[in-house]
Amino acid sequence: MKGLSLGILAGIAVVGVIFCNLLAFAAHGSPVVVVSIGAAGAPVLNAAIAITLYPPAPGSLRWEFIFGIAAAAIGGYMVTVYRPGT
Amino acid sequence: MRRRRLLIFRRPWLLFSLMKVGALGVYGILLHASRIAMADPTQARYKTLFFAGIGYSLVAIVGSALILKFKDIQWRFPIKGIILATLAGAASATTALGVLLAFEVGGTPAVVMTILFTGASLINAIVSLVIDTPQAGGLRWQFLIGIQLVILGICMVTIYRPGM
Repeated sequence: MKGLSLGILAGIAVVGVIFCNLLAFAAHGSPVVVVSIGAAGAPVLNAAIAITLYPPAPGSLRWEFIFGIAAAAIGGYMVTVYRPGT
Repeated sequence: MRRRRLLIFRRPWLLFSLMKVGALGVYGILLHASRIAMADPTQARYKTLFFAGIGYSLVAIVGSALILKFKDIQWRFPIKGIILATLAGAASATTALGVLLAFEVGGTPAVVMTILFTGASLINAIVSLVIDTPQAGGLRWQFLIGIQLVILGICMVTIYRPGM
């Protein structure tokens, strides 16, 4: 029952993403900025929740891993904001 | 004296964008937690995908059909729009299947979803480059630095993932 409800919630989360995108565009959010906020914010939030819920063994969380998430998030933001044609 | 309103209320698109970040941020974790809760060592991924599809359908089909009905919109759909939207749905389900398969072979939500989100931005940028090739000198240095940061970040997250 728990797996079933979590699976359904995962599906609803996907539709939530699409719906929030449409709402943000309708509220005059620029597509470039709206998509960029998602590209930068989602990996950081996901990593924070995942590490909190499933904590790695003590001492196994290295600074390079945290740096990698930050670099990927900043890079995702920059690639989206400054992509050709914007 | 007028009260100052929070930035997100003055700019509702920012609030919706942050809501989207919230939904994206919990998506992979929900899939992972559901796969574990299914308690089936061989078929948990397909059971999770099945119910994720039900959740998706509940909101996407029932919800949007109700909105269309109440807004009294004409039920006419161009064939090109139908094909492209169906392909978008199939891409979304393929993403969920890929994520579940990655979890199945030992990937953790923090690693798999970071690679997914930032890798998707990279693919999106490369497709933009191919479709709309910029003129000489049209590529901005921030874009090139961004690509390098994404690649560096993905490599570091993969190499230094917890447990390595």
